[in-house]
Amino acid sequence: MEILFLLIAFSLTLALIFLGGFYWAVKNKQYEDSYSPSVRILFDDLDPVSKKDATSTTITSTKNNKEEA
Amino acid sequence: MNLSKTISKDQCYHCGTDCASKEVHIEEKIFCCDGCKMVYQVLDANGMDSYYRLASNPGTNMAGAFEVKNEADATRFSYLDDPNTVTRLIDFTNGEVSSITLDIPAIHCASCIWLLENLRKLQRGILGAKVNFMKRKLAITWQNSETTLKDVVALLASIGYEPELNLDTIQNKQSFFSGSQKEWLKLGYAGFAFGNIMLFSFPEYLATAPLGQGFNWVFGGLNLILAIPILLFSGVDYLKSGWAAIRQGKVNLDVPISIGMLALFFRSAVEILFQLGPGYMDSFAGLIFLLLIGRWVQRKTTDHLAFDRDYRSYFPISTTRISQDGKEEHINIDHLKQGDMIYVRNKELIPADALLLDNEALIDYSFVSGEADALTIKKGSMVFAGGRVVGKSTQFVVEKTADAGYLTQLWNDAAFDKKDKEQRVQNFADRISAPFTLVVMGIALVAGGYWTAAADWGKGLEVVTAVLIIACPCALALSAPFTFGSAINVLARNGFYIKNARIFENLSRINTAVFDKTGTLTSMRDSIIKQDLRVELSQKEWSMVYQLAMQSTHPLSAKLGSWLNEQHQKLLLIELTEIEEQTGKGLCAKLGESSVKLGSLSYLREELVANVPAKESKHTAVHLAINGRYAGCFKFSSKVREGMRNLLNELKKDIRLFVLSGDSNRDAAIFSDHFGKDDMHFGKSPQQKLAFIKELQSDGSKVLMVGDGLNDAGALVQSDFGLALTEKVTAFSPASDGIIDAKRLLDLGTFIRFSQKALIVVYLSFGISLTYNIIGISFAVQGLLSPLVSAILMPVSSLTIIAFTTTVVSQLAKRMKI
Repeated sequence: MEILFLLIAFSLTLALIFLGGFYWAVKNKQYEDSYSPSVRILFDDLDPVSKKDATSTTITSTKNNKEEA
Repeated sequence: MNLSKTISKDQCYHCGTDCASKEVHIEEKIFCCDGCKMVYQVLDANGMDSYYRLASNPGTNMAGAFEVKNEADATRFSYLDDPNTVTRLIDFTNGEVSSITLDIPAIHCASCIWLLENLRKLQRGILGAKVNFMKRKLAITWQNSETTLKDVVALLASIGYEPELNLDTIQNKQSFFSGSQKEWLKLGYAGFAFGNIMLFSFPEYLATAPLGQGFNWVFGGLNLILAIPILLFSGVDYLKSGWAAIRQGKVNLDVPISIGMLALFFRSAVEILFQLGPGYMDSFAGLIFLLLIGRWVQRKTTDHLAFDRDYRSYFPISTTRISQDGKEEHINIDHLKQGDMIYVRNKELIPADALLLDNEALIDYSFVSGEADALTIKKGSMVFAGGRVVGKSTQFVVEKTADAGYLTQLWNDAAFDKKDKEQRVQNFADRISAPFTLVVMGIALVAGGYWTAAADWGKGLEVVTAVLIIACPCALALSAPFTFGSAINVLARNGFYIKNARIFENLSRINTAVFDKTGTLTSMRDSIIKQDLRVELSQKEWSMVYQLAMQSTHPLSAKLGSWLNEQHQKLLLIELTEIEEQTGKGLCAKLGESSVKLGSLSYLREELVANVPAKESKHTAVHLAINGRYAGCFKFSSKVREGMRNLLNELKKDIRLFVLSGDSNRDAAIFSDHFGKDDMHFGKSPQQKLAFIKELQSDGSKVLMVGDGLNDAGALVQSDFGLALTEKVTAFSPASDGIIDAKRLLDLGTFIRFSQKALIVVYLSFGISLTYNIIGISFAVQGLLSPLVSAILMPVSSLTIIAFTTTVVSQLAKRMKI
């Protein structure tokens, strides 16, 4: 039966590690927004344009605004 | 996620609005307006059409935005050029890179997240953007050398995600995070400790023979160590709240909970330390864990809606000041001083009480005072902050600063003290707390006395603590949060958002309903126009009247123009000449030899029109003269919101109805079917509205106030349930307990009945949990309460309540078809 003491120590240590993980996740603000990460993971797959193309075709209208003002 | 989306035939490809025609289109994609089409073109040109693949019709309706863009967009955000404003708004800058957190109410789907987080593809200089979907916030970082805050905001506005920028955002900085981390940690720790303590307690329950002394020490000791943070961290709020109530001489539900908590903890600690028994730490941990879950259910409702907005969220950040040397400059509204000269453009807000410098101006006070028609103000008159300038730009000189204005005075009323309102709410749970606590204490003392006499004081003390432990009203405390929490979710699905579960009960109890008129009973946008003409007009003359009406920005004129356009199919396209307008009075024009004049009676008289009637009509009217002769008038009356009459008839059955309006009583007749003559009150100032609600409450009425404008703010706060009506849920609405989508207002009767049934569910679940309590106490008074009985009875009762309330509420919703 004395083996139980060891097992209790193990289980409690394991549980404390999980508690630590939870603490980290909360402090890491993972509980702030439970929706966007679930869709964000899908974004990488549907990026038909490479970064280089995109930056060269910025909108011109906002530029014009700046000049007028 | 469905990436191969089919285009539905008659919905706008961008925003999903039903399209009247297929006029605006690109290939097979139909748009409802040019604004939507333009956003599509911008995104398509930048290779960002993924936006349309993530969700169907993800865009914001851009109708009207197209015209606004051309005129005013260049100047609309120019206040963001002012470095002082920018410094106050941004979170961080190191000279090269800056970042800001913006509130964007339009965020609503996966596509929004994708588009906003890929903003860098639309504008050079944007380094990164991150969305917090739950709070509808966007954090943006950009390079100062490449772009400016103004450009970023203008870009967001141009694609339909205009951020909220107002006096409030500059005074109270936006936070990207909600700050609920501590609550999560409390719940997390309680769950952790509950699980482990239960495991350590199992051997005791299951053992057929007594465990060894060593085991008792280890299990008991670990339980005690794990339980201490539950008492001091996870559950400390209940102790604090209970203690605060007692110090004020009151008893709330947290008092018996605290007594139960303390009894559980200290009895268990004593049992463990003196090796008298295994203790009740598992019940203790389970109790706190379940209570915290109840709180979490209560909290996770409507994070993205703002229920506490005051006038600051309605006022813009800055205004145009004319400096001593005549130059225009932007100045933050909270820096305005008495004597400053300001310049307010068409449709802009007057930021402070001020005197008019120009000869005349037209001011629309509908939102702040409830007056439906714009007023003409003469030079030197006082205008109040919150009014909107209609027509040409106007100069004022500031009299009082923004926070000392006539309108903002209202917020100094005691009714606006938030804490006070929270405390005024006396829930069923609070009301039964005192008798409940007394009865439990009584039973505990009597049983304790009996056992002290029958056995010894040790047994007596044991029975006293046992009663206190088992009577701890955990299930009782859970029934209201779970019932109202799920009811709030049901209503939120239906466009009716309630601030929190605590206030929900007030809705169930209302017996009096007070309606604002302008914008609530009547719809702000449309009114009925009746023509009262003395002569027949020819097709050409109708066209002239129409063209003339379209020339003016005066709201009546604009309404008349669109009405004429609907009434007459074949209006001719003509060019009027010599158009002259006198702001707020009328205008005239010529077509060849014929002339046409539209305006007030006095205007026509001044213009020497023949046959002008001497008497003003009671109605708001626009008068018409053709070729110098009076031709008649167009009368305006407010239109009752569609379906409103049905709602009023439904409510009238068991609720007393009142009208409370800031407008004059000219519309009284159209409501006389529904309201008694003495139940309609017109011409009330915001302060008087508040006082009226107070008066109703003084004879015990529970008042529901339904309103939409700032002028209702006082009444909304004072009432037992303040309901703000809004055309767009995310748009500005005054501080309230609930926000309802104008489209769903007609279901208000159903919603109230639903809330009343939810209250009955709470009563029933109180009954159930009391039954459990009685069973538990019957064990306790006999001295038979073992840790095992407690460990089973407490969670079972709580889980029964959770299951009962949530299923019954969802069944109710299904049966009532909401």
